[in-house]
Amino acid sequence: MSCWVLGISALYHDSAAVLLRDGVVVAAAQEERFSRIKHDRALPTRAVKWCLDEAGITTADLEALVYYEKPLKKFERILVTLVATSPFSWRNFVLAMHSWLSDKLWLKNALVSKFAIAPDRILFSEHHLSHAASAFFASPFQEADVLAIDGVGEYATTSLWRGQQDAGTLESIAEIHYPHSIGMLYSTLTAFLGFVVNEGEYKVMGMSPFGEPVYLDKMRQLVEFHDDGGFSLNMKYFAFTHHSTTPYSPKLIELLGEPRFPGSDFTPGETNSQHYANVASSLQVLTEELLLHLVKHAHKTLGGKNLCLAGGVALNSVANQRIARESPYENLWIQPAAGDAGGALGAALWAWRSILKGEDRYTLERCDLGRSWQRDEVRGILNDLGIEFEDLGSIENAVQRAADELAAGGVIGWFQGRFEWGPRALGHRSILADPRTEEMRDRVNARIKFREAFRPFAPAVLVEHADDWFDIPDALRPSMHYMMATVPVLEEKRAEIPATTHVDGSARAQLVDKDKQPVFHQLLSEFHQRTGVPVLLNTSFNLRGEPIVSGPIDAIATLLRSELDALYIEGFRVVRVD
Amino acid sequence: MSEIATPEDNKLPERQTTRLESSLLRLGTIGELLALLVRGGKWWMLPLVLVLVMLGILLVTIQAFEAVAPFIYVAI
Repeated sequence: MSCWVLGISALYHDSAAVLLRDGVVVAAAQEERFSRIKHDRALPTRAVKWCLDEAGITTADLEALVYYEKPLKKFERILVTLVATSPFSWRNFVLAMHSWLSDKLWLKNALVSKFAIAPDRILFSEHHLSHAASAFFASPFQEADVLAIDGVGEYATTSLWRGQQDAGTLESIAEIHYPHSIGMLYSTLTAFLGFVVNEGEYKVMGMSPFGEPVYLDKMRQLVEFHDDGGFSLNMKYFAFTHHSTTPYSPKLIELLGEPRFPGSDFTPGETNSQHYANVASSLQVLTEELLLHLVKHAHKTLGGKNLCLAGGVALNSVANQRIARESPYENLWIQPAAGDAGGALGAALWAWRSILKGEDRYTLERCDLGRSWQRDEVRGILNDLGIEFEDLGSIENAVQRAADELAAGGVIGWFQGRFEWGPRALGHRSILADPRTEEMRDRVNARIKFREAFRPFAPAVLVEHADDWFDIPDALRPSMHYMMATVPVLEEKRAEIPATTHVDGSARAQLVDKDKQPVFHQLLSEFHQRTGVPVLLNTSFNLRGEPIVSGPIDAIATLLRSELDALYIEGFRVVRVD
Repeated sequence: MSEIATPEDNKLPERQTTRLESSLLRLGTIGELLALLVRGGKWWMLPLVLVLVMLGILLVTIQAFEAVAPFIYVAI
C-alpha cells in the first residue's frame, strides 16, 4: 500500500503543493498557476486539489500533510522584533496583529477545514529545514553540505546543514538570525532601485551588468564580515524591522543618493540610469562576496565535496556561477524552486525521510511535474471557445512546423506536456524565438512580453553542443538543466546569438538533454539543422505581471493579447485572427 | 461536452468542523504558543501575548457571530 505525503507552503509568497508517493514526487505545482494571481500566497487549495486528482486519491489517503514552517515560532519572532523596535514600529504592529490574530495564528484550524484532514495527520517542518531538505533530499548526492539563504524564516536567515542520505538526516550546524539577512539586504536595495520586493530582484540582476561596482566600498559599510564565517547588517542603513513601507533608512539615502523612482526610465548610458546601474552592480558584487564568505566557511567547517544551495537567494543565478568557480566544492546542486515554493517539496521530503523513515531516495531529474492536457482535451477547449486552429496531427509534425517558423523569424508560444516546477520556463510553457538578431530581443521585450528594454533573455541549448557556445564549469552542469546560473557566452559566438547574450557577455543558459526533454530537444535539433545554431531564445510563456501559463485557456489568452505569431499546443497550431 | 473548467471544479471538499472541535484546536494553538514562550525563557511576553490572543479570539468571534458585531463596534 502506498504512503502518500503532501507538502505545502503558503501565507507569505509563492504557495505551492507537492505530493509524494513512497517518497517520489508525483505532482508539484505552485498555486499561482491555477489561481492566476502572481506569487499567490493563499493556502494552495487549487494546487492541492489537482495533486490529489492527479494521483486519484483524497486527503483521507494521506499519511501526513506537512506545512513548511512553524507559524508560532515565526509569530514569536515578529512580536519580539516589534517590541524591540517600538514605538517606531507601531504601524507594523497594527498590520501584523490584524493579519496574525484574524488568520495566520489559527492555521491549524484552516488546514483541518480547507483540506479535510484530521489534526493528528498535520506536521510542521521548519522554514530553513524545508529549504535545506528541498535541496539535499532531491539532490544526487549521498552526502553534502547544505546552505539555505533567504530573507527570513522563523528566526534563521542563513543556515548551514550536513546531510546524510543513508541516515535520512539533516544536521543543523549553524544559523544566522534576523535581522541579519542577505535576502533582506538584496530586497532593501531592490526597493531602493524602484522595483517591487520579492519580484524585482531579477530585474536588479539584469540591471547590474550595465553598471560598474564603483560603490562597492560604500556598499561594504552596510555589512560586517565576521571571522567565524558569519556576517551582520549595519542596521542604521535599514528600516525593514520597523517601517511598514520603506525598508531603507535616511542613512542609506545619504550614502547612495536618492532612490530611483519606481517605473522611471532606465536608459543604459544615460547619467541617472548609469548611477542606478552602478548601485545594482555594487550590490551584486557585495552579495557574491557574502555568499563566498559563507561557502568558504562552510567548507572549512565541514570539508565536504558537495554543496547544495536553497532559499530565495539561491535564485541569484549570477552569484551561483561565482560560487561554482571560486568555492572549494567540487559539485554544486541548486534546487530549481529554491524560493518558498520549494519549501513544499522540502517539507514533504523531510517528513518522508526523517519522520516516516522512508528508505527510498528521490532525485529530482526533471522539472515537468505539473499538470498536462491531452490532445482531445485541447481540441475540446478550442472548439468550445470557437477558436480556429490547424490540427498538425502529431507532436512530431508540430516540431517540424515550429522549427520552420522559428528559423523564418517567428516568435511562438510553445505548450507541451506537464508544466514546469519552479520559476523558470524550460520548454513546456515557453515563448521561443530565433536568437540570431538583436532586433528579436527588442521585439520580444516590447511587443510580446511588454517588459523593460534592458531585460535580457535566456538561451536553451542542446547539451551536446553547449561547450561549443558557453564556458560552463563542471560543478554547475546539473543545475544548468534548470537555468540556475549565468555563464559566459564564448567570445567568438556572441555575435551569433545577440538576443540571448547580455551586455556583459553572459547568459542564463538551459542545457537541454534528449533523455529528460525529448520533445524540446527534438525542436532544438530541428532548428539547429535549419540554421546551424543549436540555441533558441527561451522565455517564460506569460505577459508581464502574470504567472506563467498553466492550461490552454491561459495560453490562448496570452496569444490574443500579444504579438506572438502562433501558439503550438499539443500538436495544434493557433494564430490570432485580427 | 465542454472541457472548460468552472470555478467549482477547482474546489476541494471542505471539512465542516464542529464549534467544539474548532475551539479545542484554537485552545491547543494558544497552549502551544504559551509553551513555546516559556521554553524559550520569554516570560516577559506572556502578558502581551495573552492580551493579543484574547483580541484574536474576539476578532474571530466577531466574524463568526454577526449579532455580536454591533456591540463591539460601539464599545471600541
